[in-house]
Amino acid sequence: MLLAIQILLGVLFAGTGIGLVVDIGKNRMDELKGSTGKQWGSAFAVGIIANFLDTLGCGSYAPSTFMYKLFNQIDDINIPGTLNVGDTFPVIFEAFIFTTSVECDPIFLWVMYICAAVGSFGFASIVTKWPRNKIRIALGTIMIPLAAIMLCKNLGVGPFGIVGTATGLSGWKLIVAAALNILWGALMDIGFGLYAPCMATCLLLGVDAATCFPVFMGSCACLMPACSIEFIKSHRYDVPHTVGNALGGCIGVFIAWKVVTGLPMFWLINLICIVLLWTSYTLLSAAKKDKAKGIA
Amino acid sequence: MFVNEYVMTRKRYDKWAAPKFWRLPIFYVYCIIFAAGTFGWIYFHHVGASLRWQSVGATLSFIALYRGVFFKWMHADKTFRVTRAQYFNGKDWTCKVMIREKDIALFINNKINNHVNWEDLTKFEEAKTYYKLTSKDQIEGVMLDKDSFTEGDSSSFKQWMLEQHPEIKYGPIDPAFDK
Repeated sequence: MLLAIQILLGVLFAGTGIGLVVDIGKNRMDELKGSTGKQWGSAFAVGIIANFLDTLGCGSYAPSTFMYKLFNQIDDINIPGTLNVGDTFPVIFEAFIFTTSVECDPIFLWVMYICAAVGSFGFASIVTKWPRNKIRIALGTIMIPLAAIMLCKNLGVGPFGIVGTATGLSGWKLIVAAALNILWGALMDIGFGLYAPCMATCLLLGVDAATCFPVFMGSCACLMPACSIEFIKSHRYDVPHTVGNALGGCIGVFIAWKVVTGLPMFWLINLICIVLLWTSYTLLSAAKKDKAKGIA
Repeated sequence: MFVNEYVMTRKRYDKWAAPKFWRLPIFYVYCIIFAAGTFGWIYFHHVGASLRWQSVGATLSFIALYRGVFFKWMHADKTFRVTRAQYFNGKDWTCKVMIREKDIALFINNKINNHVNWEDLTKFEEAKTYYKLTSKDQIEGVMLDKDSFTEGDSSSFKQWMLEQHPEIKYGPIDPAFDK
């Protein structure tokens, strides 16, 4: 039975890949064959590093874009498509291995996944009107005390209690988590990552640190393939970098999974606090840059 | 020659962009995944297996239901609402398609938006209530509502297309989009 379920998850993974393989086979074979070693090297390096960081909760888009610019092996116009299509596979892989290796209440997972989808699809036209920079500043600022609170909880200092060990939520806590996941799902439409805020929400409501991972990874895995289909259809992706990102990304995810599941809880929560602070920094610095350019 | 004019509403966009999910072959794959996921979830709960395996069943059943049934419609609906909010001040927009000898001109809210040359079109597809002229990139297409011809009519347009542009392949639209 377990094997059957694993096979089915593999089918889901393969299903997403069929579109990519068919498109490459039909239309992009020359590009695949003509790729240089430098391109493959860059593609795998970016895939492994970015998706390692992604699994830890840092997100992969910013580091990938930074490295693409650094290696200078890809046209800028193909970057969004390459990121979307290439990262879809590692994200599904992430959701798969964390769901099968971490204890989590299935009802809690269902509620959180539905809410992320409802937020992303139901509130898209509303959030696109919101001032992006103000949200960046608000989220970036709030993540600093959240990280501090989590650190205090982890060390048993102050009036915040100790870290949670729940594998799911119920009652008012579930309602709060669900409502916030709708918001995080909606904010994905204007370029805000869901990982860090979803992780902070779950942790503060008393969910076990490891259990947070399948929650935010599954939420993203359900939302991501939407864009990939469009990019595959319009051929707006770089073939070697997409393939490298997809394959190298899964390797990066696997390494990070070993790190996350192998870490003692104390260090895992410290790691999460660092991720929250890093996210805060990226949000605030992006807001500052856009403000300097006069973008609201 | 022929002019087709209609208001792009949420209902119309959903109708044209979202397929009938039960007509897509992948739907039956999702049905199997949903059945296996739900069965696995119930089975693991019943035998007292660890939560992680119950979660796998729950995740599978969610993904199958979400991707197999709701996803295409949700995606089309979102695309329409975001487009309307970003480009048309939250209002529905009017589309006017002018079929001319040389090309096809597209007007949105009475302003010229795009020209499509006949050589860029590859397929002329017919559905119950509309025609679709598919371009080479297979993504964009010129849509014509059969009931919204303000110059010419649906049957004479079809006749004209078959006579004047035999190089554009004519056929019925994919059954999933035949609305």
